[in-house]
Amino acid sequence: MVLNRSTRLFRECLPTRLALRLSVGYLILIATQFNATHGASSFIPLPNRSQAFDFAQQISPLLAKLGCSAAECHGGATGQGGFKLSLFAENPQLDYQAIVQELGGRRLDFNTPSLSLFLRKPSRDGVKHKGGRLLSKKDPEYRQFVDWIDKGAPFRSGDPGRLLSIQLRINDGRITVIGTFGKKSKTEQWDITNLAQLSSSDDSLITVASNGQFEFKGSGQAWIFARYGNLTARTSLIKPFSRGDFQPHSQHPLDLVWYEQLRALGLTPIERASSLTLARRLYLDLVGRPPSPFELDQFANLPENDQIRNTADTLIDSSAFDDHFAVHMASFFEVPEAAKDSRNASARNQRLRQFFRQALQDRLPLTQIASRILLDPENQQAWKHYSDPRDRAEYIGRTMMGLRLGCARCHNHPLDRWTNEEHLRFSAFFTDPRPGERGSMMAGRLFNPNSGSEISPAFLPFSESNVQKDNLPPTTETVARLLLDQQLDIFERNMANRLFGVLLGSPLVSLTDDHRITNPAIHEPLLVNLTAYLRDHKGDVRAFVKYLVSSEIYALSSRPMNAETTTEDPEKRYLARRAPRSLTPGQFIKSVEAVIGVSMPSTPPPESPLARQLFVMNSGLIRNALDLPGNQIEAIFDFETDPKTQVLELYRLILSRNPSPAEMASFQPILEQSEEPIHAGKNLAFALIASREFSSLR
Amino acid sequence: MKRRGFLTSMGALPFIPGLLSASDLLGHTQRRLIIVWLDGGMSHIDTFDGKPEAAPNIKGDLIARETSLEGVFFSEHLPRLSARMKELSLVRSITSPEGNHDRGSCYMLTGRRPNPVITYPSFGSVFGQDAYRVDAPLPSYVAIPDAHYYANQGFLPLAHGPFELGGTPGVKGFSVRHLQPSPEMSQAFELLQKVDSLGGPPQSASETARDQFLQQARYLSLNSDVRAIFDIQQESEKLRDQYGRHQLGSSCLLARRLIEGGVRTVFVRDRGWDHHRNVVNELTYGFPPKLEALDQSVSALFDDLKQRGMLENTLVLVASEFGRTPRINASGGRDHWSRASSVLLFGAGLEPGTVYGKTDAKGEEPLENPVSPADLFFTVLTALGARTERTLRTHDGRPIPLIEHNMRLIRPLLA
Repeated sequence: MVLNRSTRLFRECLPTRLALRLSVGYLILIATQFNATHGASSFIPLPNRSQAFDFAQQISPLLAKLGCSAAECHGGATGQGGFKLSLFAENPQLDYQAIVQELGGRRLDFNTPSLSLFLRKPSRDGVKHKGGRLLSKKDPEYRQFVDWIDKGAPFRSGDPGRLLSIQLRINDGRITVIGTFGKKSKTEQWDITNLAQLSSSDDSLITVASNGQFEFKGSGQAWIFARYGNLTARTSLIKPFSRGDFQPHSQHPLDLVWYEQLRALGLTPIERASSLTLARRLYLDLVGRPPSPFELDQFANLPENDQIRNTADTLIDSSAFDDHFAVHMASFFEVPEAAKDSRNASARNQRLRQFFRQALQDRLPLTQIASRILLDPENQQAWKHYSDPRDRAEYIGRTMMGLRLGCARCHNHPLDRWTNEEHLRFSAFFTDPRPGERGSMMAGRLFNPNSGSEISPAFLPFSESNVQKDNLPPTTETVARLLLDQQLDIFERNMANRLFGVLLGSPLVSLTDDHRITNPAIHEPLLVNLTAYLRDHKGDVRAFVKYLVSSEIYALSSRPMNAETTTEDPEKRYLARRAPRSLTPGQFIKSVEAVIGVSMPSTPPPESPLARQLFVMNSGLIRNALDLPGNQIEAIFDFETDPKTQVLELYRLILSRNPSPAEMASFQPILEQSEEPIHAGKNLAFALIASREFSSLR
Repeated sequence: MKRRGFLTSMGALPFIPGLLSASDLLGHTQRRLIIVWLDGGMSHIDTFDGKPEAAPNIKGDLIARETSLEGVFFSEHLPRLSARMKELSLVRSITSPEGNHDRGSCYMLTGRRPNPVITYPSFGSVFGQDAYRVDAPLPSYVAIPDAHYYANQGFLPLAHGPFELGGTPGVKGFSVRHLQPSPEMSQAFELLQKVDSLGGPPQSASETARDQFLQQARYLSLNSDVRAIFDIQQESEKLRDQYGRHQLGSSCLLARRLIEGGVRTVFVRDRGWDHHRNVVNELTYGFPPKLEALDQSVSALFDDLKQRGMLENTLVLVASEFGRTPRINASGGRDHWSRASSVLLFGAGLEPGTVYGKTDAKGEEPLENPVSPADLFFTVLTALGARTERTLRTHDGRPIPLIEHNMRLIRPLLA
């Protein structure tokens, strides 16, 4: 897996080919990636470089790896003990100056390199070092420093080449980091494992030593990240569980991708949820309310293969779908539910909510919706309410690209993908127009807050092709054109991830606005598949939703394999079972209204879990609704006189399922023995609405 | 049965799974925190950092008088606190670059400057987390009447956020939102529990947590003794008068009752300290006058905690997002000033009578021992005995140290 900073092809973050390989008794999944080639390549498996030398390539990485340039040591804003290095060695020139030239060069001893203060401090050789002992004289890093000083501490000698990319290879329980360096006429590859910083995405699963040796601590999938210079690469490792094999029975393209990873993980998917559970799930997911008993029957009477597909067709065509997904779209674009509007934002947000509803009714593709947010003066309020162009740029980054640009706002951040200049240049697109000569309007201007120089707008350099497009006009039309350019996929990936989260309970990339290389998807091939589907269907939300809900992965049961396990079991983590989730406050109220059949005051329950339970139990809103004339609970008791049927109908209406024999045996007598069956029925209805099951989407 | 006796009797809590023991509730090793948050930015010169020698356009029209501690000048409208200063602690050299309400509040309440990609948890959420248990009978963190945005749980799970009362004590008709059960509630709980148990076990951590919060809601609702913890009318008329019948006084009294009942952190929010105009009038007139209410409430809280032997386990922090401009503006007010401000503290883990830091003659910036809100965050948590070496995790697993390397401990403040 390679990320090349000079080109930073976003799609290169995504593995395009999966190779299965058996190694050291583990099934190891290696995500590989082919990088753009730069001339002829030759891999020379040498531990160290030959004659050529570059401080930035051979000394700076060691400072980062040993922790010298970390924020808590010399990389902090003021350094430590009068010695200041750049954070994570991101500025080799400054570091070289600090080590070699500062204090009249007294940090280095060219006659006897080992007596250099620069080495005696971290090795605690007769001098104190507040940061402890970081080096011993036997360490290869120590020898490398000595060798460098001995050669006169050059900044660069010979032709070390330019770092183009790094990639990870796995061999015999060890990760090797390979750096590709471009020279005038060719590229060379070197083993840079000892210079790179290695880390694991989950130390409880896999640990990795600085020499690349890794060790599994448990079963599952984790990622190893390697950082060298300004580049980061990653690879995925799997130690399988042993849940046995399974017989796949779906040919859905999404399921084929899903099965492949489950097999690699040694997991078995849990069984399909019951028809009635699926009916409730589908209605809540697609139209935001549970099905009526009639709809439940309709669903259950269809052949199993047609249940979801046919019902989804009907629901997707309904205006309730538009209303429900307009709420999701609003959430994607950071427009809150009405109840959470701040006082001065309610009119603006109301217009935007109406726009999303209308856009879905008009069947606008997602790219069109985003385009209208960027270009239509009225919808531009979604981002124009921020007065600072940088805030506007970051909003576009979060909502449309799934990227947090904010880290680069103040300065170059060594771990960030974008530089401060790139952030500013992108922000410059979002300045307000200013009056020009003769009443015309000209593009706004943005000035560098540090240097005062004017910033010319440029799109974020995702690829070399869009880097070259600086000559495009500095308008939001350009942003829309480049952002929604389907060559990039960035918008589609972001939206596919969010829609997956809406329908499956949690997104594949856990933070929807943070598609960094070091924040991998829980199932990258699945996200690649969904992104491609959304792109190929030109951002059609309805087609995407139908594609997803008709897969087997959508129809899984949420029942834990082991009844004791309700927390993070592997099946749930790796999508072998459905993750139940709580209804949002808005969904909860809408569902209550649907089952009781009356409108309720528009006060959503509080978000705090304790306050929400108090609301359910004590607010009186549900009780009052149950007493409103003409509600559906009363209708059951008006038309049904048999207590058994009444219990059955209550369960079907509220929980969308039939009561179990135990439930019937418990509640039927209560209704039978009550002098006021309707009163007892309302009590039971209240308990069902307040139940764990009702407030959960399983 | 008295409230304390009730809470420590195991028989009163038969249905709470994983009960807190009496020592968890009231034990002396379990420290508590009350934050009195003066929302808007308290003028340091007109309160705890008086400058009697300064020019009239700086010292203003409010007279500063020396407190019981030599060299420390409080506004003459804070006589009770002045008299107790020997037993209180004061930091006069808080300095911060954040002069905007939100940003300043973020820094003071979370110890971190605002960050575009992450919202940090506040004092109450991280301190409560030390002994955080979802099955505790009372919420760990309560806000009166509500929490500032930056007094929330930040990146921690929602369950670590404050339980907001949703009402203002001292206002006629006050009650905690939805705490009072409806007449049929007891029966409804029983039926609900039956529905839940027959419906099968929880299928996720969130469903398990919901069960526990339901039990907590039941406990709070159905036990009149527990509900009484939220009722300041249970206190004597004399004590209520001592605190003051106004919002701040009633809130401080309720905070003491909650702490006594087992709540770990109480956030008392007193709005209306953003005095851009006519600062003298704003502070000394009104219903009640701001300074008088502050003086009365906080000194009564001090006396009450001391008298009940709770002072050694309860830390009280009186703070706001920043100070106000030393120079009075054209409207007779003071604007935002983050380069210097003061906080008042007393109680658990603190050395009484300590005054740390000093501002220059104009109160413009610290003359000695500058303290950042981050340092204050570290120091308060240390005084509370919190495990400051902990690493918190965002929900995607990113490790965030509770204390950053650049946070300094203000050792002279600690006992």
